[in-house]
Amino acid sequence: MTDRADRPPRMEVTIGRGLTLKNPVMAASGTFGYGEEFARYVDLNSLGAIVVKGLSLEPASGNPPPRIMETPCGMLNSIGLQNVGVKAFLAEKLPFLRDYDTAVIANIFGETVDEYARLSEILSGAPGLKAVEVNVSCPNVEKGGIAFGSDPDRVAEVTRAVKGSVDLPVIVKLSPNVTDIALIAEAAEGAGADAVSLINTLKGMSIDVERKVPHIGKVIGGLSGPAIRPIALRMVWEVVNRVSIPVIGIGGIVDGNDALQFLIAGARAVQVGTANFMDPMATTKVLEGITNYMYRHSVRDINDLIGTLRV
Amino acid sequence: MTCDSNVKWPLSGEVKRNRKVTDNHYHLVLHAGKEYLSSSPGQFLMIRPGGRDVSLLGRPMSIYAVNKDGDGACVEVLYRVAGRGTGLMAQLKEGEMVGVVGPLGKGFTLYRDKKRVVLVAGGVGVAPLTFLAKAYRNLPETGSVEVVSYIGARSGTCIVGKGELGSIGRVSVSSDDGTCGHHGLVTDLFAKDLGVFEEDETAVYACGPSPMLKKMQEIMRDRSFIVQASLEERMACGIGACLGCVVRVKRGGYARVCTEGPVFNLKEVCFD
Repeated sequence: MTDRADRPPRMEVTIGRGLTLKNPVMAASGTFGYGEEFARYVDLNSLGAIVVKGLSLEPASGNPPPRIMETPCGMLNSIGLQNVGVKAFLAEKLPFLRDYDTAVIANIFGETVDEYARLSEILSGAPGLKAVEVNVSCPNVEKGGIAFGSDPDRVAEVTRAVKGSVDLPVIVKLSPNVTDIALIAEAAEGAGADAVSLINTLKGMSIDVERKVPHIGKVIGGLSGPAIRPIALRMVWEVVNRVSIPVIGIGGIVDGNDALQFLIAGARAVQVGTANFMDPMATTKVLEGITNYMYRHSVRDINDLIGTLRV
Repeated sequence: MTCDSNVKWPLSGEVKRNRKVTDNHYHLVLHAGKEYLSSSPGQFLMIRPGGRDVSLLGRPMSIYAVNKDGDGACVEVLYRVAGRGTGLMAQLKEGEMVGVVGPLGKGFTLYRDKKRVVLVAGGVGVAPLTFLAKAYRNLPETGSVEVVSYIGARSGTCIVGKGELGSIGRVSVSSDDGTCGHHGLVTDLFAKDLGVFEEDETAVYACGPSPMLKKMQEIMRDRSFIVQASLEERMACGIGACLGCVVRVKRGGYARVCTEGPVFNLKEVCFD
């Protein structure tokens, strides 16, 4: 009897060339620190991947507070990409993560194409690093981010620069603050991206009417959490239908049901973000939810579930 | 090599009691895992009411008291209903489960060589200072330490924790509207007595809203007292990942209130 009903289902997924995850549940960049913050609460070995906090060439101190505000079913943030810098990441943060049986993915951002290329070069060959995720979408830094993510030519340029500088699979993380996200995804694919991940945060705003001041120091922040899930799902669906590289779904995923919606829509994997703030064990619960569904529906391999939406 | 990280820190607590103590102020008592017995004064919890059905970030709450409770811990907090999260907390009933993460952050330093401890509390800022006062009392070698407290609130009906600190030492009370004790700010009440405290024999602790701590910083600027302050900020995760709760510090850049704090040397914080 090789097909016993209680045999664990096969969870492995492949995200582009050379990147196989033990399961499709990833921790999203900016919501999981450098992994160590969560080690007390989550078995990091159980995660498909950890995408670390976005890295820049030099350490960045970030935006003035207030930086966060809870909003209906979500939150606004304007952290300003505060991070330790790529060199400190390699020296101080990566060695800790390397000892875990999970794929470590570096998320990078720059203000010029050259910065993206230099970051990629520095990360190239770093032991234990499995892929690079390129943030072309962060809406928080005036000079970079949004300017790349909303222009297909600039996205292609950055993608090519990173691909040419690093020997790892390259995931391009897309901004939803565009008219046609699939157009941007096509540009990334055309420039050699191994996968795309979407969506990053939606631009949003909130006001304290008593004091007549914005709740976020920089006035506009990025909206995340369950509030954006239907938008994220729609965008993933649009992109899946327009590109042939793997798509990673991100946006308000809190439980297994949420993740399954993205997988059935065609996402090869999912990232759990804001939910990590609400519950440090969110990633574990998402994975359990997916697995329970597979038992219930006798799905033996997660790949048999991906892209099975009936329309 | 694979790390054995099969750690499962308890992330929920059962409501044992949730009582209104005065206007908008509540006292919540939770039963949580024995891991919470390691809590020290100044540390906090992220408490999230509503289980999995309500999409909500946890709310940071300083720990008021921790005691052994069966095979676990009994953890107490004081809170003021200020918005949606604390509004939901106020509706919690005995036996309900809440999400809890903690104990978190860097707490107060206890100075064993001081003769006197001065506590300055604004509103529910009295909670961690009460925990601290008891910790000083429980240190065998500091049995004779004098604990002097100043408690302030907007109004007399908002004064909480006076009885408990009163059983430990002298308490002076102020209210912004003059309905109880000194009419004015708690920082002014404290400043009037400042001359009687020996700088090298006294440790000062403060907890309250930012304007109060800013005032404390001004009062203490040219003095050599040790002043530790517990700060309050909006937080998303409480564990150092979201970088949402930062405060600007004098050495440059920002520090996370959840991880580098919530207790800081008051002189090192910038109140913009």
